[in-house]
Amino acid sequence: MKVLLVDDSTTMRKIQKRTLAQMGVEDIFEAANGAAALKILEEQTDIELMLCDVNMPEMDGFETLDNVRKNAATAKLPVIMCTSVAEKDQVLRAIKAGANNYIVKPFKPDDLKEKIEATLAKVKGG
Amino acid sequence: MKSEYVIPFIDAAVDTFETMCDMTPKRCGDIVLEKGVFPTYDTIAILGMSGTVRGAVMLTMPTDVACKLVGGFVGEEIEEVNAELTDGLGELLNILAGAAIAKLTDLKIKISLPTVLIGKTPMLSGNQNSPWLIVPMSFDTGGKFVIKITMEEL
Repeated sequence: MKVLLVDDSTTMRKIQKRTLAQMGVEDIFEAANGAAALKILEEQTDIELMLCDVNMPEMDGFETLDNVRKNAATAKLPVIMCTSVAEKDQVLRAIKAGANNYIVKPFKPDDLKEKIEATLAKVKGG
Repeated sequence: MKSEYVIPFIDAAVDTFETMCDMTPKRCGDIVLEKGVFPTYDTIAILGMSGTVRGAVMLTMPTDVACKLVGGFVGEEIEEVNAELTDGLGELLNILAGAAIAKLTDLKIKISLPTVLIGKTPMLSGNQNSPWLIVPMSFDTGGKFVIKITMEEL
């Protein structure tokens, strides 16, 4: 399984990467902002899940999600938005705009694991 | 700045550090007001607040405490000042501030991206009209840190 992590914090990506590795995911791609993420999605057409931070420089999480949904090749890509509590209302709007799920920081690794499993199960279940 | 505005920042620090770093902080002294030029520990993380307020929130602590805190965050020992230390401390402040302002529902606050500064015995000064509220904290495993908040309602 291929997963794309999008977050401007290298430590946050490291934590997410460790959780994914514990879930048996080894094919992990990383981007520090939305623009870099879109480039990776163009090159890696078989990515199956994207975890995307909201507050990032250059291109934030909402703009990234908008671009992902507008592109036919990635329109159905499962996306989990990662956000601080302050942005919760915005993320609820983002879900209406096409995010499959969201996780609020601070979170424990098990919370992230559950959120990923729930999102993938929901997508597979249609 | 209303003194009750400080409580969400204390609660957010406890929640953030317990959840993400497996370290439990508690208050370890009276909350005091500081004006003018004041000392900090040698590691500082700070971010600005805008919107219906003008202000900032700061975490300051000795570098060895910062190493322990960020080490708990990333799950690896951090022994020296490096990019992981500064990135991790900035991210923790970002999470803490985001959680705190979500509880300040009367205010519409935007937070900036965090900045981390490390150096020996820095002194800091801010807006003279808006003093800093200083909250001394410590971890149950040892190590002190301080949350400093300044917030002027517009």
